[in-house]
Amino acid sequence: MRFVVRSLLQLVLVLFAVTFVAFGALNYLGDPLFNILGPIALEESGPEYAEVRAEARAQFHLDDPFPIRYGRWVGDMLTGDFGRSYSNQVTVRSILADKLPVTVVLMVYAQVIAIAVSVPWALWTASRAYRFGDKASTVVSFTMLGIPVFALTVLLFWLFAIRWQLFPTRYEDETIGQRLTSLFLPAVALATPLIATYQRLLRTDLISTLQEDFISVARAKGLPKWYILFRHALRPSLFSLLTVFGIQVASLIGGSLVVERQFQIPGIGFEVVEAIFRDDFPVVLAVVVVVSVAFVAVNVLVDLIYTFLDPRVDFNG
Amino acid sequence: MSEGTPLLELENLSITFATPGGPVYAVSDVSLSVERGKALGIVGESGSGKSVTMKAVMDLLPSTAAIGGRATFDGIDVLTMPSSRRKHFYGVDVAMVFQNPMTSLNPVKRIDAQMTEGMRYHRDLSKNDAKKRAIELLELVRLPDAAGRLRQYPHELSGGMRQRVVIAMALANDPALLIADEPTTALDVTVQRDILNLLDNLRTDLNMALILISHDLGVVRDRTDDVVVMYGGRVMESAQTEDLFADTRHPYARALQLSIPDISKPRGQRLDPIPGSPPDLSSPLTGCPFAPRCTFAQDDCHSTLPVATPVGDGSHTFSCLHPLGQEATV
Amino acid sequence: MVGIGSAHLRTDEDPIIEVNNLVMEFPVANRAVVQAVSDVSFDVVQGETLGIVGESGCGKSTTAKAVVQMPKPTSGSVRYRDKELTTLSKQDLRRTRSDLQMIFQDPVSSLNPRRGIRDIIREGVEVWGTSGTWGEARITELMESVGIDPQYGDRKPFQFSGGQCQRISIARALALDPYVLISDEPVSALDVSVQAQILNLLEDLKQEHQLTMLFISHDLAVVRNISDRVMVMYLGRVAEVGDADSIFGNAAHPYTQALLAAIPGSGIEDDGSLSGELPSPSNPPTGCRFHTRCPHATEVCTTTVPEFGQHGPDHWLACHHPQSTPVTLS
Ligand SMILES: Nc1ncnc2c1ncn2[C@@H]1O[C@H](COP(=O)(O)OP(=O)(O)OP(=O)(O)O)[C@@H](O)[C@H]1O
Ligand SMILES: Nc1ncnc2c1ncn2[C@@H]1O[C@H](COP(=O)(O)OP(=O)(O)O)[C@@H](O)[C@H]1O
Ligand code: SF4
Ligand code: SF4
Ligand SMILES: [Mg+2]
Ligand SMILES: [Mg+2]
Repeated sequence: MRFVVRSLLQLVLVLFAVTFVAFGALNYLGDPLFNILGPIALEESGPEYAEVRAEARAQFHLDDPFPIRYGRWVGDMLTGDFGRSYSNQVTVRSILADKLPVTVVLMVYAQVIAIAVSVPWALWTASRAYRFGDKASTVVSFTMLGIPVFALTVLLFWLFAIRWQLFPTRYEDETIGQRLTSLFLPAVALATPLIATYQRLLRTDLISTLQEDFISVARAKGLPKWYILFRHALRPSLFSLLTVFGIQVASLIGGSLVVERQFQIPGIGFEVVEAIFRDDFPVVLAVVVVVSVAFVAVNVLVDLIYTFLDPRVDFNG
Repeated sequence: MSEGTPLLELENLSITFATPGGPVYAVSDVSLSVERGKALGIVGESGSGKSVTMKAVMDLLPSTAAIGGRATFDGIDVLTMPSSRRKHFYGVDVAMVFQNPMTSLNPVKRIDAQMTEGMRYHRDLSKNDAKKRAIELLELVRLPDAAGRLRQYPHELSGGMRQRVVIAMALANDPALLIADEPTTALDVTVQRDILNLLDNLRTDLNMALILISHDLGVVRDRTDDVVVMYGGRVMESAQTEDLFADTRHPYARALQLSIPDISKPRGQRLDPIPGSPPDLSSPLTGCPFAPRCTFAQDDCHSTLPVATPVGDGSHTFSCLHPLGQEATV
Repeated sequence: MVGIGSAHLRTDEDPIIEVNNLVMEFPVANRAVVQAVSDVSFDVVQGETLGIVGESGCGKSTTAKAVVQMPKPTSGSVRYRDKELTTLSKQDLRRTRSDLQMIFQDPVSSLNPRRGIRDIIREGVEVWGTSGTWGEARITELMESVGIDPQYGDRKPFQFSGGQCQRISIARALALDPYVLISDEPVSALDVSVQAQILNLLEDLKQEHQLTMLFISHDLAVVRNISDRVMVMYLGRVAEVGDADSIFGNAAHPYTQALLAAIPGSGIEDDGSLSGELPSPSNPPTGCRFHTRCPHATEVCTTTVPEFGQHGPDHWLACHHPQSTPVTLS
């Protein structure tokens, strides 16, 4: 119970902080009226538009003081109403409904690839720590960490989609198969730095776990090497990986801005870049909220997994 | 040592570690043996090579270790055993218990999983049979509420209880030899006595050989048939237990006995410490390893390496150029 | 006290430390409270060494730390000479603490790894701001007196062995010219051969500096060697206290007897009475806290906390059924 209350409290606090800052920044940076009406929003375009301007102001409540607008926006958001886009008057909700699933799939995809590659790789390197295979792996993983996401994206796109035509150049999503193939390259681009990060972390933790007495005990029991690695060493070594897994959600979202643009994927990352360029701040804010919720949710999940991984962690402590 | 065919026999075992600072000569020329059903004690200060010797037998040394010499178990060379034999050797023929019960169990696995995995792997027991056997074993080591403990995690048990679990686990496949590396050093005296009695009883009940490593001569004195005293990675003296105490020949073995405060003597008895500190094993020895600290040392001790010399029938040997005579014993 | 009372306090002498009804409790998870020390009273007179023994977790370290107000006890009084330490202002306490120095079990980690040992020995003095003629000569003298070659003054702690590090921490404590030296398991982490060196050193320094000592150890033989008086603790209370010869030669409390019987090689028949687990200090047994493991417990033991009674000239114990047949050490 305490755990639930704590998680909710955490969620509320993070949301408040994030939205307050974002709402404030966006409000004072661009001119919302201009974004809604275009050039006629400017006084210089003539008095004949004064009425239109007033109407728009009223409709979007632009004249209310900041706390009231913020409060109203929070209230609306709580009822699921994220407002309308300034640019085309479509509800933000329908934009989210449209774009969010694509991005979620992309991110889950990237994380799955990252875990699927990094965990076996780390197990392999840790079991031969400081020998040739491990040292070579270190070089490889540092290279993977060093390549900027945009460069990797361009490279993958050019090699696999254009040159060898192994993957489609355009996003297609008629079938699940199409979806998975067209998202494969972007997911790999996102996963690459994650793979390296996870591998490094898990390798280090595994190496220290393998020094523990209980590993000697397991070996003295005559258990095979792979069994000891998987069934004894892995679980107690997952903590740093898990912590970083939770934090990486934020950087994945950053990466998706780049990747979705390059691969022309109609996801939330693509959308938000556009929205920022046209100062469409209901959309930007909605995305900020969604991202924060996702971030907190994933980290609550991580906490839950901790208690499952280590019986000594007190669930309510 | 006593006659009969040895179960485990080490002949001139040497172990060198490659470290960034150069080689460490951790164990040199160690020979010892233990018979079926008998108890052998290995004593010596920390760093004398007790654990490393036994880890070599158990194949637990890191890849930086180079092993020389021979180790045979029941006639088979342990160090060059074919993999078909290896597969069911560790955890079946020999088992080991370690010093620290707090860290000997995997903190994230329940007791039943840790107890049954060895039996299930080596003997193909069904989950249920393995569980039944686990309860039997926990009762054998007198863990209160054995069945109830199976679903607990290690951190829910006290140190003494954990060491019982570790011992029960080692007994899972009826080993012919149990190696206990300082099994009670981390425990309270009161718990220590319980665990040592338990090991004693198990050895006689199961006709199991026991190697009991300790830095405490008192622990070994009452509970072993033979004793090996190690120092600087070498065997200093080796004898049947009562001979070692009644007819100590090696100055180190004697100094060890004298440095321990005697509880039956009143306050203020002056102790006889061994001056200096244990040797640095990173350079090969030219003479007796104990020479820098030995009150009996003479010039030749620094240049001549003493070899194992028999007393009487040869079950008692010592490595010293100027041994103590009968009259010098305590 | 597995009991309570203050009958055992010596009224005819002038104690340098007098502890009365000391209680130390620690709140832990789930609103539980660990009763680490419950109503402990004792006194130490000038020049005396009081040994404190008992199983792990019985409150030895907590008692010692409470004496120096680190942390302040939950309740009770601690008098040092004519000062009541529990009510002393922070500043006065700081000044007084240099009179009461502590040394700890783990010699290596209790020294700052980045400083040379000469600085380590000097640093205590700088922190306390003791004025006066503090010369380098004095540090050199101190290093010599604990057996550390002054020419190694620039070396860092990791370049020394455990025994040498313990010598350095003793020198650091002595640098402040303390009247009372509190040692918490100072030799437990050391090898037997080195342990004897440190015990002899402490004894010499005690004479030389006319120190009063509180000496904590779980090793009864070590305590016997160094103590004038002994206090046996069980689960946060005192069981038996008095002259060391009387306690060791004539132990009358069932717990002390059981502790003595548990020593390896003590030659005392093992009646198995101390089997079983130490109860939880957050939920200690009612009445005499030892009744769950005591072979002589009766009805009254479960309900009434025993009070201190006199058993000999300087020999006190808290038990409803003192044992008239003492255990004898061989
Ligand atoms: N800060 C603390 N918080 C909670 N419990 C504590 C704390 N310090 C000590 N305790 C508990 O108080 C009891 C007495 O502890 P103490 O360290 O005094 O034992 P000890 O007799 O010195 O044992 P050992 O021989 O293991 O050093 C123990 O049950 C311990 O777990
Ligand atoms: N992995 C290792 N690398 C280098 N030296 C080691 C290693 N393991 C042990 N040693 C050294 O071997 C010597 C013997 O150690 P050990 O057998 O553990 O002593 P003990 O008698 O206390 O059990 C010590 O000097 C120790 O430092
Ligand atoms: S050989 Fe010499 S130095 Fe070594 S133990 Fe014997 S007398 Fe001492
Ligand atoms: S006889 Fe009673 S009072 Fe005495 S120690 Fe035993 S339980 Fe405690
Ligand atoms: Mg060891
Ligand atoms: Mg303590």
